[in-house]
Amino acid sequence: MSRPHVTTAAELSTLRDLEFVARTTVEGLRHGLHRSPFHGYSAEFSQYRHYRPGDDLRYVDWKRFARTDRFYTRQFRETTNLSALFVVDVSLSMDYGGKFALAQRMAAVLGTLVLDQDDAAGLLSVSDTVNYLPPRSGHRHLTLFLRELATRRPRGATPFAAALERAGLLLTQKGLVIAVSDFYDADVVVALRRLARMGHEVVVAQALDVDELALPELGAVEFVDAETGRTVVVESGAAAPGYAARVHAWLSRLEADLRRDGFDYLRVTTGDNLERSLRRFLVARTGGA
Amino acid sequence: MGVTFLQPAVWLTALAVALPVAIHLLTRATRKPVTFPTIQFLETTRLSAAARHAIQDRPLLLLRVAIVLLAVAALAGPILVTPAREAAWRARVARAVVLEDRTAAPEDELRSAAVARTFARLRLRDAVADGVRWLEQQDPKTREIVVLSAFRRGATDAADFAAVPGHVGIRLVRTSDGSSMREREISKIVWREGRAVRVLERLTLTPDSTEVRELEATALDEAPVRVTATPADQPAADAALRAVLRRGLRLPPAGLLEPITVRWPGDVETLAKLLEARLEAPVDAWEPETLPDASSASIAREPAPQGSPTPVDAGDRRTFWALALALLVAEIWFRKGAAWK
Repeated sequence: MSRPHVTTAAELSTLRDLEFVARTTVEGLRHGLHRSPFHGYSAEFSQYRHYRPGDDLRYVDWKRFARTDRFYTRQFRETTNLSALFVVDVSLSMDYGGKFALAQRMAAVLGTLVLDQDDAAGLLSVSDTVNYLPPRSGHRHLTLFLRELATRRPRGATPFAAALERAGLLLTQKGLVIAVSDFYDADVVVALRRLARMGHEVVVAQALDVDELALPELGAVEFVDAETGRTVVVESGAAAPGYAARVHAWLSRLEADLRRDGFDYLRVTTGDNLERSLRRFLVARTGGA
Repeated sequence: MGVTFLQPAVWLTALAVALPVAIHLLTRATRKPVTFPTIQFLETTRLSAAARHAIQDRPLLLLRVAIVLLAVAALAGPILVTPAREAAWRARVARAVVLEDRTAAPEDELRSAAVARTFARLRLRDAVADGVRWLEQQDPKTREIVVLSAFRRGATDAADFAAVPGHVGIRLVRTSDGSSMREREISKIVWREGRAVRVLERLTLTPDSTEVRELEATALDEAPVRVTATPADQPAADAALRAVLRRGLRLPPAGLLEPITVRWPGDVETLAKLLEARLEAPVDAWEPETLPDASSASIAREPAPQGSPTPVDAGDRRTFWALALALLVAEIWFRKGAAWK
């Protein structure tokens, strides 16, 4: 289902940007995380390395510290069975402001985190065509993962729920599904529940533009729905309070529904600091460690 | 096929339709549409005047404009002008039937016109003028004046039709043919049973026969005709008068106002001719002479259709209302459908 692709200059720029963001963000996150937010199984000792702030203190070799007066962290050769699939929404509703770029960065950072711990990460997006990068591990796959991510562009109006259903069909073993979308599709929660019932762990990463939370002051504007093409003319100033109230009510309902179902929920807007938001999310995911 | 309107001025009300369209066109230039991820959280707000009138749904606008235009068209009295209707319209005739002879009855063919009226006055010219005035009040259509008359010479000429407009046709229908049958009443004095009697006869001349029928006979105290002669000749003169009266002496149509006195010419035949000359009532002068066919043909002419062919059909108005109503139902359905989305 993956297709050959020649990386364009713009995509290469996006790729480098993603790599840079992913690397710097992941490095920053490591300092705040005491243990990996995504769990694989690691049983076999591999080597020592110098302690770095952020390393889980459980893996510090205290005996070696007593002998050498230096902190060493034990590393294990992980025989991972974690398979993470990033399902990224590429419908046209994502094509607004910096929303899709934000979704790409979120997926890139989290994907790098997963791949850095030798777990497998894959990528799925469904528009009029299905683009699927099967979950693999390894450094080379990270480059491939980021490259695939950089080439995705929003198009079409395929419901995100359809992409999630496709993910359920593609995953042959229980794994982690990270859904990155704006979640405007009303059926998406049902699709997420179905994935959860199939035994997959589900992480919901919601990307929104700041304009979507608070309507910008544009005067009388004809808003065109990116996916349906329907239009509505409103006085943005007068409509803003009601719009904000409805959006926040919807977000509250969505978050409540997701948390009730036990999904980890991350919401980031283009106005947020991505690293800070991810750290807060990952710390919470690791149980506040 | 075309459409014409009985009251085209009503279309001025259609200008009201142009207002929202104009505002839409004016505001569209300054208001660029903004593509937004979703409009599910946007609800219609109280807009500024311009924005309130801005058109959001073009098909709905077109539907509403069509409804208003159809309603205005229905009010304006639409008429669908089809070739068949046009032909039927042209076949319609407004006909003024002028009766110069009051006893003549319009023939059924003349009464078959779409609009017809009969006019009769003492003078043909007056009746024609009445007919022209009436024709001018009729809807635009083919108009003609039909004159039913015997067309006696001197009673009818081209001057009687001078007031008839050029587009009005003129048809002359002769009600009786003087050359084929003539019928006159003749008064004459006849010597019967030793006294003078005034006799009224009806003379009917046809190509095949001549019929004289006595209508009445009135005995006179004395003959209104005298012959003067010398005393010696007086008995012969009286005998000659009686002989003439026995044959009958025709009186002029106006009657005899005073007795006639003639001198005895000496013989009966000369006396008869003398009396006939005094009475000035030759047989030929009694008979009417009619207008020759050539003259009547020069007066007659075909009518010319007037005005635009606008066959009136009230059904067209109903058709337009029905269409407007159907579109109104579609508009309601369209709006409800949009609201349910």
